[in-house]
Amino acid sequence: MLDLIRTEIFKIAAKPRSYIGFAAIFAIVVIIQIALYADGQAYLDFLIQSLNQSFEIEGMDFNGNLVGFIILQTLIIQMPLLVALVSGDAISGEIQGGTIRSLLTKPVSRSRIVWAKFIAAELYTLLLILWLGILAWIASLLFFGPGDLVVLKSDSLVIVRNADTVWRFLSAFGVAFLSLSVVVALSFLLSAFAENSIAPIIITMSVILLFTIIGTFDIPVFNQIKPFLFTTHMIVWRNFFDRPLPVEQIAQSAGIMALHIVVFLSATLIYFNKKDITQ
Amino acid sequence: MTDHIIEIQNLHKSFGDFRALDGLNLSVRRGEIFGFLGCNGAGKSTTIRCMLSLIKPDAGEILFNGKSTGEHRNEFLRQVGCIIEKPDFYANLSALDNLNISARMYGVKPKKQEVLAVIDLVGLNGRERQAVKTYSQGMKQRLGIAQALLHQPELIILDEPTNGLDPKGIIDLRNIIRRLKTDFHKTVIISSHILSEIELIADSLCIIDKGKTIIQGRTAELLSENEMLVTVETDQPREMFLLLQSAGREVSAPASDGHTLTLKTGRAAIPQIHREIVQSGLPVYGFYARKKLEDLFLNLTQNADANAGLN
Repeated sequence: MLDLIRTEIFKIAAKPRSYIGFAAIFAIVVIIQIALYADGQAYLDFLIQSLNQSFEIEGMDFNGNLVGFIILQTLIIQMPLLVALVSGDAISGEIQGGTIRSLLTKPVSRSRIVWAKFIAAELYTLLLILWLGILAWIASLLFFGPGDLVVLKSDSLVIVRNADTVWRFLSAFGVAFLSLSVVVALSFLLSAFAENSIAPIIITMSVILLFTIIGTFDIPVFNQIKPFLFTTHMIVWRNFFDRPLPVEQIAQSAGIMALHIVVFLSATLIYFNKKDITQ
Repeated sequence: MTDHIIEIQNLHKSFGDFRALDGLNLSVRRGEIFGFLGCNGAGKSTTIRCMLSLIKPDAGEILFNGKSTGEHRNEFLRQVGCIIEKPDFYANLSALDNLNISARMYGVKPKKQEVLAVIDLVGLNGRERQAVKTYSQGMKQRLGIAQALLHQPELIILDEPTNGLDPKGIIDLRNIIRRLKTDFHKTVIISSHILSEIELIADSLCIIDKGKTIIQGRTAELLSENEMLVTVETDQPREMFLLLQSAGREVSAPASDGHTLTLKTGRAAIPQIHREIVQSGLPVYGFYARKKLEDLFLNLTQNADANAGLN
C-alpha cells in the first residue's frame, strides 16, 4: 500500500496543476500582507469604528495573529477550488488520459487504488494547509510581531490573548483540514463518474456555491436542511476563536463532516468497483 | 499444468440492449502467437477487457492455467502484460519513470539493467529519459510493449497494437512480437482487424463475429488444404486458360491486366497443375499458391450473416 501511495504522490507531483494552489496561496497571502503592512492600522480602525462609537477601545494594535486570522478568513473560500483542482483529477484524469486501462490491469484491487489516491490527495491537502499556515500565520508573526487577537463578530468582540493563540490556530487549521477533506471526498466521488477532469472540479465548486447560498438565506425550508449541508460546518474553524469555546458545536460539526467523508468515499468505492472500463 | 494457458467458456456480456458477447468460446495454447480477429464491434475488445477485469462479464468463465481469472484476479494479472487499444502513459513523466511506476504496481523493483534491457529490446535507447509527451505514436507503442514485458509475464495481450502506426512501425512491431515468442517464450494474444498482419505472425487464429466464435484453429490448417488460390502469370493467357480448362480445372478468365489467371484448387492438386503447365511448354513468369486470410475471413463472416438472416 505504501508503494501505491508513493506512486500516487509522485503522479500528483509530476502535474503542473498541483503547484497552482501553492503559487496562488503565496501570491494572495503576500499581496494581503503587503496591503496590511501599508494600511493595516487604518483597516483595523475602519473595522472597529462602529464599536468606537459605543466603547472606548485602547491598546488594540495590528499584529501577526490578526493578519493571520484575516488571511485565513479570506483564503478559506478559495481553498476548496485549489484542493479540487488536484482531487477532482485523481480518477477522471486517469480516464481522460487513458491510463485507467493500464492502471486497472495491474494486480491491485480497485479499492486499494481508490484508497491510495484518496490518501495521496489528503496528503496534498495537508501540505496546502501547512503552506497556508506557514505563510499566513507564522510569516505574519515574523513580519508583524505577536499580540492579542481581536476577533470581530456580528454581535460581539472577542479578545484572545497572545499566549492563547497557538493552540487555537493549530486547532483551526486542523478543522480546516477536515473541511477540505470533505471537498476532497466529494470531488473524488465526482471524479469516479466523470470522463474528464474539468467536470468534477466545476461540479464540486457548484455544489459548494449552491450549498453556501442556501446557507445564507434565512428561509424556513432552507433552515431545515442547513444543519445537514457540509458547507454549514466548513466555517467551524472560526469557533476556535470564540470564548467560551463551543466544544459541543465544534464536535458536532466535525462529526457531520466526517460522516460526509465516509458517505462520499463509500459511494466512490462502490461505484468504482462496479464500473466497466469501456473507454 | 494444462496445455491451454487461456480458456474462455460461454462468455456473455451486454451493454443495455446490445449483446456484445454471446456465448463466446476460445482457447489459447501456451507459447503461441494467437490472432484474435473480428470486424469492428465484433466483440474483440470486450473479450479482452473481460479477461483483464476491466469489464465484468454477465456470464461465462475465463480460465488462466485452469484457474478462474475472476477468483484469482491478482494472480492472473501478475502474469499478464498488456496494451489495450493504444498505450497511454503519464505524459509529463519520462519513459523510465512510467516503467518504474508500472513495475512497482506489479510489486516488482526492477534493476536498472533490466529496465534498460527492455528499452533496448523495443529500440528506445537514448530516449528513455525524455517525457513521454514528446513521443510519437510508434514510440508509445514500443514503450507499451516494454511496460508489458518488464515484470516478465507469461502472457502478453495486445489489443489492436498496430492502430496509428506507420508501415515501418507496423513492421518493427511485428518483429518485436515474433521475438516475444521465439526469444522470450511468451504467449501472445493479438487482436486486430488488419488480417494481413495476423496472417504473417499468428500460429493460431480465432475469428469472432457478433460476439460469437466462428472458427478457431491453427493458422496453417485454416489457410491451407482444400481451398487454395493459384495465380499463374503468363504472356499467353488465352492458351493457358484453355489448357487449364481442358484439364478440368476451376479457372477464372484472365485478369484485367491480361497476364494472370487464377484457379481454385485443393492443396494436393497443386504439384499436378504445375506439371501440366510445365509439360505444355507455355511460358510462365510466376506461379503462386496461397490462401488469403482475407478470403477465409470474408467467407466466414458473410456466411455467419447469411445464417443469421436465415434464422
